Amino acid sequence: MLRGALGQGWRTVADSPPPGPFRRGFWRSPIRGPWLTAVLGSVLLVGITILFVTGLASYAAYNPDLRSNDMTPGKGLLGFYLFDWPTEPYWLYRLNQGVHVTLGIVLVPVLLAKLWSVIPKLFDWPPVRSLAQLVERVSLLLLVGGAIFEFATGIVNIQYWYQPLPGSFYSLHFYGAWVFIGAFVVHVGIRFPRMVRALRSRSLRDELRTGTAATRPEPLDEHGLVAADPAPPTMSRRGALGLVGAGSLTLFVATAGQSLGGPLRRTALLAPRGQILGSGPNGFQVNKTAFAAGVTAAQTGQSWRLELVGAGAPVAFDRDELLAMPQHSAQLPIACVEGWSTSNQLWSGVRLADLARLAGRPDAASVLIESVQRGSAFANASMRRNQILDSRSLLALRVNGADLSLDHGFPARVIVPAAPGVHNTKWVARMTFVEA
Amino acid sequence: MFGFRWYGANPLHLLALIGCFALAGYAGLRLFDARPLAVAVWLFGSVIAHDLVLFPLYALADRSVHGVLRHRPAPMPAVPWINYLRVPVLLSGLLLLVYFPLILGYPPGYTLITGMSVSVYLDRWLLATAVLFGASAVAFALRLRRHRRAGSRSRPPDSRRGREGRPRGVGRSEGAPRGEPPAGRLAAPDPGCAATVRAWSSG
Repeated sequence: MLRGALGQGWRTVADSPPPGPFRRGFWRSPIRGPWLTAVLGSVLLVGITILFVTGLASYAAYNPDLRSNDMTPGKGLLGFYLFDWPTEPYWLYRLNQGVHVTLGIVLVPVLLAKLWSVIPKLFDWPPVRSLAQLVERVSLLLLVGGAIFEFATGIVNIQYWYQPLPGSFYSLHFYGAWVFIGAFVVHVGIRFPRMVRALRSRSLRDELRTGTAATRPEPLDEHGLVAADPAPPTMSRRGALGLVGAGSLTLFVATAGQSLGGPLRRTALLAPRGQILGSGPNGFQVNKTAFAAGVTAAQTGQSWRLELVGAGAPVAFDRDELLAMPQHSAQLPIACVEGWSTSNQLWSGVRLADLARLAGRPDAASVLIESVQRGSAFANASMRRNQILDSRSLLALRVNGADLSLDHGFPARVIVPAAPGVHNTKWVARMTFVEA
Repeated sequence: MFGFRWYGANPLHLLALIGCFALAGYAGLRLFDARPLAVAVWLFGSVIAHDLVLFPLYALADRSVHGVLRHRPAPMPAVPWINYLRVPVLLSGLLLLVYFPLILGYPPGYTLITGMSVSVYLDRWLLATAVLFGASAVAFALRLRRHRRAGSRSRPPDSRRGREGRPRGVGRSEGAPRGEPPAGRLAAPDPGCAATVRAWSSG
């Protein structure tokens, strides 16, 4: 009896949605429908997969298993895939981060359009039809919340707006990605067949030939995306996709130049590194100025020494002594986790491998490089054996034929092919070569 | 599937989702570790910020523009105009949405860290906005001129242009059965446009 009454009551509630967005007639766009959602979803499927893979690669590029490099020491099994970050090709990190950041920005309009295309589902009535649907809706909270969280933390970080972030960017963006990705994989798994069906339901070629006047709604669908009472079209599906594409293109043009460098940097009108810093041998982008790092001329003046620690007693060299050693040069870019990079600069100085030998550890497994800088997570960094032994890995003293500027790490800085910019420690004070 | 009807989907659905929650829990313990409340605000507040703030705002803005401009006493242009407004608003808005910290000069450390000025970004965004709206205005002016010329010559436009765009309100009226030919209903300001409408309607 009670059960019957409850069932009756539930049916009454289910059949009478509250007014407004909970009623199907509220949503009137004539182009909303499974096909449009599927097109946007397939773009995000490819794009977010690339974002996740390049993100994991960037995490590996920090060699977080080495002493002092780990920004997320509590990662547990989430670093299961880590591998020795290579030095070849030398532009690997530049490409990886350029793609990660630029693609992330370019996907913002696609993500917004995808959310627009499924917004009626948020107001589904009744809100829960089955336990399965309830569980799935909770996972959608992780999916949408996780996606916006990842985009927002990334976008805020590249603009140096750290104040609103609820913690360290590295920890937020890394763990946030893992919170998101499970929901993403399950969502793709559940929806993939529906996406394929929807993509096959209309011909892309025909849609691209259909203007606004000939635009008709998709057939009413069981999932409630298609408007039951559609308004007259003001835009074709072609127009909507074109608009999303134009949004992505606009963001691309305003951003990509900061990763391409050279004269194209000027085209990145709104990118954080779209400005020309200066001219001359040291006129390329500075990762962090000496002033911001708290490094003074006194610390880097005549009294400066490079201390090498390894087997036996530490040895120290002043800058002239380093300049008297065999000098080697390498054409390498600076590529930052924030996505911007410089074109190749001609660095010259002493090979890290030679310094390992001077420290009595030619076969060192790793080296801890410490800066005169104090109080920053990146005042020191560790490099692995393959990075020490690469013949292009230098303790650079000069760049593009001139002494390093203070902002670029005078008296000496590390430059290693394919390493994240922030690991190319500036104002180096001590290098400790460690055996395995 | 027998015995699983209470759930409402294939058991695989449940297994996959529990796996997803377990992974999210494992990562979430680490994500929420330092400042749980602030992280929760970011993670779940972002959904509210989009679904219940950003989306309603832009949807309402779009509807209002339709409504307000349509009810102006002056006659509206007889060519579709809404997208000439939507496109620059959207593109300029996207640039602002992504780059508002720099545009509004929020990051206090920008100049310190990079050695460059943050004040250029507001200038650049305003210029980009001016260019976007200017280009749209020029495109709309050209469109209007083309339309008037077609009108003064009192002949319907070629079929390609006819299919490309049409005044709002022309075409399938609200509630008309699907698949019926569009029915014109527009107070045409000049005979040329009336002819155009007739051509579209019969096409």
